[in-house]
Amino acid sequence: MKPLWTFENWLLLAREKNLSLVEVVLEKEIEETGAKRETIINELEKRLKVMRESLEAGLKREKHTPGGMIKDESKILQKFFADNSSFAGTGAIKAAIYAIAVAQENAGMGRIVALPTGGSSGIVPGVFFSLDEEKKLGDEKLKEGLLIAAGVGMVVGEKLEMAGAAGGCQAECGVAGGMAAAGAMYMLGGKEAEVFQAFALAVKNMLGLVCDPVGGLVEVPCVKRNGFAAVQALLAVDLVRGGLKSVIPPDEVVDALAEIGRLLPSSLKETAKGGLAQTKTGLDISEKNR
Amino acid sequence: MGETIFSVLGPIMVGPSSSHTAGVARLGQIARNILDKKPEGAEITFLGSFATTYKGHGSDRAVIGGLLGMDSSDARIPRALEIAAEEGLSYKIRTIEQTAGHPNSLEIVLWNGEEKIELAGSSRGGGNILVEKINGFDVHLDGKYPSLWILHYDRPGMVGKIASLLAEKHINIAYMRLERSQPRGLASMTIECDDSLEKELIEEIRQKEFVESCRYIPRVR
Repeated sequence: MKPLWTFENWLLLAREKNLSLVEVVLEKEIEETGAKRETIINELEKRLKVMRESLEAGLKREKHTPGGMIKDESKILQKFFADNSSFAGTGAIKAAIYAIAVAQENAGMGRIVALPTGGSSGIVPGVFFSLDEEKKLGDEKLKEGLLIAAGVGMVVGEKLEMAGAAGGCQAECGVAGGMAAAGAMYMLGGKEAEVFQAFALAVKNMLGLVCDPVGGLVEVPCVKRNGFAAVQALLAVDLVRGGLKSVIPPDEVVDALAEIGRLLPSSLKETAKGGLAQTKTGLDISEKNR
Repeated sequence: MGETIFSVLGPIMVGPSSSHTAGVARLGQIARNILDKKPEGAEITFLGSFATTYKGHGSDRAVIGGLLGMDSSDARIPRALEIAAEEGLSYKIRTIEQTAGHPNSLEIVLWNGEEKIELAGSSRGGGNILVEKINGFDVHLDGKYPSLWILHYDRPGMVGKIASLLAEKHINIAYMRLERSQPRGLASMTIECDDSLEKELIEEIRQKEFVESCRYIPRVR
């Protein structure tokens, strides 16, 4: 039996083989799938390209989504913040706008990269592309960041199915926030342990997050939540940079995530039978969409 | 199992939901490959959580798109219902909220004339899927490997014969599962391979004694 892919084992492999965290993920992928290194890099480039395309399309989108709850949110925000400054900070508002743009594109049945799911597809691009603009990271770094995000997603995937129906929104936007935070931490030069710490801090704050979408659609609260999760991932990076640590180790945070996912009632796992979906307004909208 | 990073960095897909849109399109694609013909009719049952949420996620469009041969990143998926009408595929959609199985499950009955297949499967997040039953036989197909679904009679040496044919073409078997209706009766063999298979090889398998049918299911996208 192969050892579980955990943060601890990932770090152990990096130390044993004297490889970077990125190289360990690449080696694992080559070993598990038999793919050539250049094929993997090509696939990463393809995804980066689609991520950019969905961001560009989302930033321009002004058509109602199928459920009619989402329209031109990122456009409105871009316009306002072109002339006004953000209280949260320029980096934060940019990450939020970008994340919302991609999430809007997803809600409108546009083409996106699921990261790790469609409902959470705005968070990694929001964080990565806003940082790229602010810090001039470049595509090579972004690809490394994606490999880190992937490694993180795989750690979670060992213990929990990443779907709102299986683990609530914490299993989608929560995990995406952790992937984005870890990837960002790495791209900004964080040390190995710091990369995992950023994950732990971001995910801990999303534990218990339910999946209660209005009408069962990936619109409310999903689209705006992508913006919040992106900003929170950046805050996790800053907290780690500033010297804070998660008291609960990253692998144990994943255990908690998986346990909470199982414990959440099915009414709060994508069935639209509780929470926001069952509010008066939520039900009205749902009725209109039947 | 050979888990790839692209299950979390992807799929590249048409939104809005990897489980409700991409995964469902993939289940549709597999059903299409098992029928191995242009489908004329389909009956789709959305079970569990799918029953209440399929519509808003465009799961109906996604499954029909898959049945029409579209992959999960095909930009035509939002228009799949209209395209079905153009291509002469008639369909019926049912929902059953109660399910003992996975919360996001579906069943597909698909036909062309007399030819009819039944598939049951689930969408397991991030576009990952599992086909659990084909024509009543338990199977275990996740669509990540080029696969064969062989219907044959339960006779000694069947596994050996088919494995040798694959070995001759240097096709490596990753996973395999057998299931039979009754001793010496009709049996189902699913083989997930590491490599793609040529048409000739599939034809060769079909010609083998006691093989009733053989379907090739390429890796889903």
